[in-house]
Amino acid sequence: MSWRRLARSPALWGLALICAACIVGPLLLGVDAEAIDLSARLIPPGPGHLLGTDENGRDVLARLLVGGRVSLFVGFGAGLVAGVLGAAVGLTAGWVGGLVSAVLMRLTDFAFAFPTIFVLLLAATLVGGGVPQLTILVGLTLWMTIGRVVRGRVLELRQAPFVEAAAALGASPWRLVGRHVLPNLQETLAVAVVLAIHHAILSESTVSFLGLGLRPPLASWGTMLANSQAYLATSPWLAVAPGLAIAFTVLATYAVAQSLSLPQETASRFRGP
Amino acid sequence: MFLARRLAQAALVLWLLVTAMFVALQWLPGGPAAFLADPEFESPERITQIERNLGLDRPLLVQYEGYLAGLLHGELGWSPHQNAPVARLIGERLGPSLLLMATAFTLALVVGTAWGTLAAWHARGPVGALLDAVPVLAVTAPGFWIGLLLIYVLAIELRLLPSGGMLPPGSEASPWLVLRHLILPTVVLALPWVGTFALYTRSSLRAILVSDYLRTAWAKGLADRGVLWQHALPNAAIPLVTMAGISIPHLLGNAVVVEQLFAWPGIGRLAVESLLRRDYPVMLGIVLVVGLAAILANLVADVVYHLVDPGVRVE
Amino acid sequence: MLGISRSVCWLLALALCAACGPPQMGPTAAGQPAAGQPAGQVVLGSSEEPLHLNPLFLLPHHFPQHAPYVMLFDSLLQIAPDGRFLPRLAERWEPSADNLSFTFHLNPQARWHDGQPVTAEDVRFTFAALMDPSQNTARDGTEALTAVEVLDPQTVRFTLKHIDPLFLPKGGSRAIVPAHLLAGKDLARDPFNQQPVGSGPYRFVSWQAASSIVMDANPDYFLGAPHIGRMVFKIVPDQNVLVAQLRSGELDYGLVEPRDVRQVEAIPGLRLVEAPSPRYYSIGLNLRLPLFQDLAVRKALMLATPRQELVAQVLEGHGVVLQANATPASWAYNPEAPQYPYDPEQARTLLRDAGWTPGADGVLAKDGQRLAFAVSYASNEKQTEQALVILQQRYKAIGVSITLNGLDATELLNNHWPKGEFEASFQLWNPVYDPDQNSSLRTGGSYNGSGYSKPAVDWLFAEALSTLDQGARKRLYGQIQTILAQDLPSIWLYSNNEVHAVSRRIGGLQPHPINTFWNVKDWTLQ
Repeated sequence: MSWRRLARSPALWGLALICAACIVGPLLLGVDAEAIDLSARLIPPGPGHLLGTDENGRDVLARLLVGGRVSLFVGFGAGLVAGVLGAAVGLTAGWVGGLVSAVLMRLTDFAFAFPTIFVLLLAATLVGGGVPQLTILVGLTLWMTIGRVVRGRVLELRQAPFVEAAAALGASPWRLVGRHVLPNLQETLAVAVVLAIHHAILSESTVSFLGLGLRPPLASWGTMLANSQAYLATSPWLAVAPGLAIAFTVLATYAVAQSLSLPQETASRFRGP
Repeated sequence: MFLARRLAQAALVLWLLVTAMFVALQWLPGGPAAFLADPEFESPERITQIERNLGLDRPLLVQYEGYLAGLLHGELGWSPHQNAPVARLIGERLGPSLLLMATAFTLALVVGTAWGTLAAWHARGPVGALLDAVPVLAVTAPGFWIGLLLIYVLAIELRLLPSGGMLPPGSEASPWLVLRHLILPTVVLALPWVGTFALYTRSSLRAILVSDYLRTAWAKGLADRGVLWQHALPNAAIPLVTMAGISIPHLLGNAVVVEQLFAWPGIGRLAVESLLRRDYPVMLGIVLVVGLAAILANLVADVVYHLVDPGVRVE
Repeated sequence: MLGISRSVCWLLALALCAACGPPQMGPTAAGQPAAGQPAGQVVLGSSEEPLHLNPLFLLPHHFPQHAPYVMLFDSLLQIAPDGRFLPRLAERWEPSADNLSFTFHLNPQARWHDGQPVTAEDVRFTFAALMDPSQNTARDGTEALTAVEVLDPQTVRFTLKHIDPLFLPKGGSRAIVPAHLLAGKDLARDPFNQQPVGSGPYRFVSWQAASSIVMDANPDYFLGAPHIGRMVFKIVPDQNVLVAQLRSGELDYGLVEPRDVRQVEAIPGLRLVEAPSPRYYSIGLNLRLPLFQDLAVRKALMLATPRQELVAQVLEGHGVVLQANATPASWAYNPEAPQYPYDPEQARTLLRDAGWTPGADGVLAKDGQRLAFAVSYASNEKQTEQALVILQQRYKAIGVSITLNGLDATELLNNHWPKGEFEASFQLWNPVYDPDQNSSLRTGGSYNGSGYSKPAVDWLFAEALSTLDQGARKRLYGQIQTILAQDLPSIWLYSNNEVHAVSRRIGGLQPHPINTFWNVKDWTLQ
């Protein structure tokens, strides 16, 4: 993994820009994201309101930036929770095998078979709609995919020639895992975490849509998306703004994940790589 | 035997699921009885009475045993709100849901892997960049947005396709009619999965295309295409199969939005509605059926794993 | 590679072929009906689907699901939009001298859809089932009933344990079910629940789960055959799609949300029918809290609530502001009840004079108590949420802080409200059959969540429920409204108008708060 290459990656800077925009943007913009102006409802994007106003006259750009804080937190937070939990389970199950693997995989099956929507709605009713609760909850609905994918990859790697060779040379299990397995997991894990982040942001949107997620007037890209559905025919920009924000964030995250992947491909007779 | 052991484990997980749901329902505030009494005119005693009528006043363990006993006889209970057997309620919605998900899944798998393969092959240059960007956009575009756009353009303005439902109201079921109604919701449901499969295929394939394993194959003198088909794709298929297998339950979550938008008579909407009403028998039934589907899907994925590369020991 | 590309091409080709398939089946062209024969088809859009089609279990407050029932079944009488009682299954009825019993004379022409005559036994059976405690039936209208007797095949007598002016509107509106098909059967499990047999102007044909309910005209309907041959209920859960289908003509009728009215107005071939409704919203205050025990606080809140603005912005003007617990659509409405303007200045003065001073955070406080409270509401109601967001800002301007507490609707209505587990509660009230709301306003009433208690009001309710004279009851309820407008146990908000979009080909639609399709047999189709 090359930190230098990562630092040069435009996607990482893009992501950093998005995060920075959401953190300091609202202060720089000077517009109150919660200020209602009923005489200025549903104005299309233009001078004065760069992204227009919503059904209560609130400035969409300001809301987008403030909402971004919540969505980014939930998205990355949940992705992190899912990634850590999933990687731990997958690595353990894949490497150790046997009864441990069976138990862990059945646990994964169990967590997985529970309809996500029930889990989120049930939990939202029980623990409330705060941001930290939502982050952990959403993370808990996403780790299973990562667990299975990681386990699959670990199983492959365990039997790959270079790993068997290293084992034959007397490397300890820890060295095998650390030097050979983990580095090769990165790309798979990175892609899985990126998609978990995407699911996390959309899960938050679904729960908010059903009214059991974040409480108004707390904004997030998910609640903005949900609220825009009613006005889609008359004011489509309300859905475009949060939709594009989510798209750019996940796009940037994915590109960053790409930069984390395997070392530079060397030239070969192969046309593609 | 491997299969027998996995089936036994699957039954165990299913039992765990039902039990966990049973317990969770006790924690949930409210119950099925509240929906059946008009709170403005009925006294709280009436709710207690309704609970008695529904057998909800019996000790939890007795109710639980009764439910399990019923399950063993293939009885999923009755919905106290819809006055119909849970098995039939779920059954009539499961078919359309499975049809939608299976079609979307197949479409996503085919188009996604094709795309991902192309993207991996052409990883360098602007073509590669474009091929990479599109799946990510597909994954992130909000489903209801794309769906409504398609409805407005293709169904309302251009009148090419129906704007909703599984069949025109009041008409006899016919495969041809269903097919026409299936197109739009399938595309909308499949879109994020096309992207997902494309991304996974691309990443797995690239990792393999540049790996030592493959250089060995070239060194042996295999042609490009041979390398791809005989060595690269089968190995890339493993995580893909895993991904494919576990995407099915996720489809249920996405399906709710699509079912709502296209008035598709599926199980996703039933899940949300029954939760809001606290229709416990239906909720338990859904957990059971969806859980069973998820477990079986994982099982199938593991079996395919086994077949694709017998060298990989699954347990 | 080539293999995959080929498969993709085939798939695309197949998809294209499917798209160019046979023309979509839509509403049939309305032909000229043969003289007197029902003809044509109307497609009605509905966002909610009935849970079942058994009127014994139908709850009045689930009103979006009521539509098919009034087409399939008959009740003893029917309430007209102006409040008069019209004969339906019963030709006429008379109370006894002491008003403790009612004798109904059934129309001898009434028939079930399977040809059997409707008899007094059917009425007796229906009400016996409604009153049976071992059944989870909806018991509206039977509260005061002690006995239902069959006097002869066309005559049935109801005996009440006390005078109940609610019996005729509520009990008389209950749909009657066929005894010969349901006697001895498990009412909650019989296939009747999904394949009903009624006596109404339309006959059940089919029900595709979560898709559509089809009903055909009953040409032998005893009150006159309907003109429209087929009624199709199409379930369209998404409001955007419903509007789109109204535009494309796939739907001939739909209920329109305020935000879509402008769009729908512009659709040629449709007309909008707007009607006031007796349903209304208010924010109930928990009077057990010391905060709300001061009338000055309640008055100030009322003055600081921009109700006209809420109607203009949230309801897009399709609604009306209230003074008390009745809307202009109710026959008991008292226009003389005290009015409150939107006057935040006066609100500030009132609070200041009552000893409230701004704290460090800008929120008013007095003796360590902040003027801050949570407003509970049904989280799935987007309109309510929008109103509360606006209200939050307006209250902030006078130093009142509210937080929004979205809850599951059933939880809110069944638990939190009646048990008083809330600080303020934004709720929809539904006095559709009768304006009486004693259970929520009388001292000790089972639904009196706010804990309001006023002997004068208790006396007025008791009086209004002891006479059948509508004129007298109107005066009494009018006085209650005046007191409620002065006492402000709730912040009286507004009432939504119902906006119906209906195809211009359809004539005869007359909106009605209880059921839009009450006179569906008189609808015509060009």
